[in-house]
Amino acid sequence: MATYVQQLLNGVTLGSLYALIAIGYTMVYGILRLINFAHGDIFMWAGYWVFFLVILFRLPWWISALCAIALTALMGVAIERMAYRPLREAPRISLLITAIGVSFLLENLIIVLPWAGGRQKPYPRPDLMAQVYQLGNVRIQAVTVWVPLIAAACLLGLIFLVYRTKVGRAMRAIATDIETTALMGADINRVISYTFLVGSALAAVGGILWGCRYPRLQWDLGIMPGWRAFTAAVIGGIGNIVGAMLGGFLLGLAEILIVAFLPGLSGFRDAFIFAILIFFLLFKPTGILGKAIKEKV
Amino acid sequence: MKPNRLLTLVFLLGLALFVWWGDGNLDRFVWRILNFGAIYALAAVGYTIINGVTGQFSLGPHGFMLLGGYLTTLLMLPLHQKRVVWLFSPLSWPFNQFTLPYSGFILALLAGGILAVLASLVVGIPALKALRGDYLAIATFGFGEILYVLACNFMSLTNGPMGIKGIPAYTNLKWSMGALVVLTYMAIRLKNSSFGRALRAIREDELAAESMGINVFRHKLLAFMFSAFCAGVSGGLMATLIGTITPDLFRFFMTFYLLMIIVLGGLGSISGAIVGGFIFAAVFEALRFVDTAVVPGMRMVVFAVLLILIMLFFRRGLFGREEFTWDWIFKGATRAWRWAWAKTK
Repeated sequence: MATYVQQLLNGVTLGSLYALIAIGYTMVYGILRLINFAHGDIFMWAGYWVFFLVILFRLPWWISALCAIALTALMGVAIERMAYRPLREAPRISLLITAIGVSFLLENLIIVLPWAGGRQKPYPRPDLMAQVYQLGNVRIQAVTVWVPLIAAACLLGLIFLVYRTKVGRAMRAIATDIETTALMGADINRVISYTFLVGSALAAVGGILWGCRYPRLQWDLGIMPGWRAFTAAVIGGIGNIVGAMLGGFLLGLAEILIVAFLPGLSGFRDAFIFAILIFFLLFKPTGILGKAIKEKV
Repeated sequence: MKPNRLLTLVFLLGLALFVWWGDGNLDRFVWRILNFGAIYALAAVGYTIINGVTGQFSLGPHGFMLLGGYLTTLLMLPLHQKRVVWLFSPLSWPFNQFTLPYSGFILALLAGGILAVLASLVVGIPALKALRGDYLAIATFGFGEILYVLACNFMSLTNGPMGIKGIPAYTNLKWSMGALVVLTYMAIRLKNSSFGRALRAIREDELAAESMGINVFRHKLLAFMFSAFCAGVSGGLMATLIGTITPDLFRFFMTFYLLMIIVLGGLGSISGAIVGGFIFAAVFEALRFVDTAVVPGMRMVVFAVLLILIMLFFRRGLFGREEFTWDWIFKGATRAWRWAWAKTK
């Protein structure tokens, strides 16, 4: 019983982290039809920002975390501004190639930076997150309580932003039809910048919390969580925000349960993720919540 | 015989002489760069056929190179080395029973290519039928990553992450350039045939191509198979050039290199892929000092920035979609001559 509760909490924790990252993929895809290859690396950078601020500038953890979110979000906006915006009229494949380039740049910048480097670094984790609560015979790590709570708060805030504010309405309008929205007088560039801001900020929250859960930093940290989150976005129906959250939780739970109860298969974990991704792309490309989009001729 | 064809013949003859001379006499450093250049160019020629000419964005050539590299290695690795390398889990049948002599090298390379083609059918038949654009890219990428995970886990075939050492270094300029020339010839014939025109029609407008009676799926699949074959052979050559392989050698960064090459050369240009391959190999070695003198990893930063800059400001690449022709050289030379003549007056 105790193991089940713990594993369930682990699954929800991992799932909420995937959900936070998946939002960024799904929002950008919904608006630009771009698979933002660099999103996983933006997520990875958030952890490093905290590391830099705490270790180099000796800032308190909470302030570092807030600054890290702001810096990561600005990074996302800057990447869109410099690398993606000039290519908006170009073939979509050019955009994808550029995104791959940005992804490699972000990863290798970490290797090159003297304070980070290619080796693993410890992530500064606040004491609160390192505690273990004891409830009867169930031992609960504090992270597995706090991470889902913070994630849930962020996701509720996002839903409010997208469905109850003017910017959110503009985002949904652009996702439906970019040209018509422009004709209606919405500032497309500004809204797209907001999208990257919000997506990257949520990825940053994910990256900071990920560090609290697994307190190690490395340059390739973002790759696999990024792909899992992307898979989650596809499972939920890419372009669909609620779907991405749902997909994230499903995938996180499934992953923890497989690793916990079928440990012999854990070496093949990444292969399973990609098999699920390919399966969904081939047989259910709209995911479980997405609507089918008619190809325009 | 047309003069241009004669020039091509003379060029190939010169290349053959150079290769024949170069294998023994060339400086080891230059020799290695040329080999790598030819191997990259070989994979890039196939890659540009599917990505550039057909316009179907695949991100999986590293997976096909992995298959070719491992199969060629398993066929060519000497038996005593096979006993030494597989310490933890013994090498599985049938590879522990035999090994091919040097005369079987071409068979091993072909086998690597054919295995890659078979794998391309496994992923290509469902994926090319249902997907296009970035979804196709993701599916092929996922396939490559699955192959990587399998290579890490099937110890009895691949020796897992520890890799395989002591592969006989059979690759030389004769093999790498020879394979490049043969496959380039095939690629050019392919591109200039009605088949190639159909591929270009698919790139421009799939629906229009289909309504003109082109079997879109069949054409895409054949282009994909050809690119997989090139990648497989190139993987085999690379394994027998380096002498050591691990699954990490054929990770996604290999596809990133190939992408750089074909983007630099011009998406859809075979000549561009070849020139790009050699330039890439040369720059890759030339920038080695950046990694050793400045900080390790700097080289990849430079390449990533370069790729982004090419995409932003120089999307045409060196050749665009055009091919190198002798007329092109003549025109350039005549123009330069006239210009120089006018200057002297």
